[in-house]
Amino acid sequence: MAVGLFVFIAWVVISVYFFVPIQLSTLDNLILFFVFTIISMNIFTIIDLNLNLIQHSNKKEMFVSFWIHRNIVIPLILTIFVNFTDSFKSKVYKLIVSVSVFSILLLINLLAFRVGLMTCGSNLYLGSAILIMVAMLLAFITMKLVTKLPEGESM
Amino acid sequence: MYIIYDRKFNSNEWFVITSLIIGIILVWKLPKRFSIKESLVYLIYFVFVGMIFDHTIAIEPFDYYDVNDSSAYQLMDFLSYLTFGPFGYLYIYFYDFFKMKNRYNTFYIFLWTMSALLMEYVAHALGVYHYKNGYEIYYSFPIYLAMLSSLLYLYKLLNLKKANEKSNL
Repeated sequence: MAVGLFVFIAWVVISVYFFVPIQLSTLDNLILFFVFTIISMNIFTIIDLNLNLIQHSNKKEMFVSFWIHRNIVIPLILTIFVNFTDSFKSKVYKLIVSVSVFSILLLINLLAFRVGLMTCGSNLYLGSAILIMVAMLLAFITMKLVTKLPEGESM
Repeated sequence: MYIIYDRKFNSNEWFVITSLIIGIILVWKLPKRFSIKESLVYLIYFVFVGMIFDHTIAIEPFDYYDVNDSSAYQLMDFLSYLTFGPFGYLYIYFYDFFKMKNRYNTFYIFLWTMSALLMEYVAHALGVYHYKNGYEIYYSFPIYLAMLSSLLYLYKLLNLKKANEKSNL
């Protein structure tokens, strides 16, 4: 059930990515998706292996869902988020987008805990909220850095 | 299970640092062939795919190997993933430099897969990788094959997109 659920969530997120107006170039989006996946993987590995704040399930079916959540759902939602924030000039719209994306990510993360992909020893809601805020902040900073890179100039 | 292999700054750390420095110098000093963003895509892609494989098969429920001094995730582990970046970049750089024809792709990918395996063999001998649960070095062969093939496919896609954009101008 968990695999089906997370495949469905990933499919919805991928569909949204292909249907919303993408502001950034293909190269920007590729770089950002790669970096967001690296960030997501590292955050989860550190809080799981080193800090023992969460523990991912050792069942293979659950691990596949956890993998989809960590490597597809979170990075792709962050990529959609930075495309949206880049497209809106108004700070109010940016805030609305940020709060909406934060809520969606929080709900999906809580769902991941609910279906047993991960278990958490400490405060689940606060921990998830901090984790998502850190990921969104890093995503926003990365987007600002990547879009400032000169186009066409060789390295 | 948490395992500590060693606590000293020795061969595995030196191997990671030396590989990273040589890789960065090569990427920096070679004559430029791609734009900054395109170079970044090739550099980051290999780190990205390498991490995906490592953060999948090197953790529970598979747990086929540990990287560097212990089972925990350390700064040196992260640096060892960064060494994949220059490797992927150089792979695409020389493909572009030699203007390889499609009929040589299989041979080119095989050659670089063998180089990656050789690098892994040296890294394993120096204590960067510690295989567990029956893992053997030749299991990495299909992984490198998939990583290098997908990177070449990405390069072809980006070139096709560039060619389309040029023809539309």
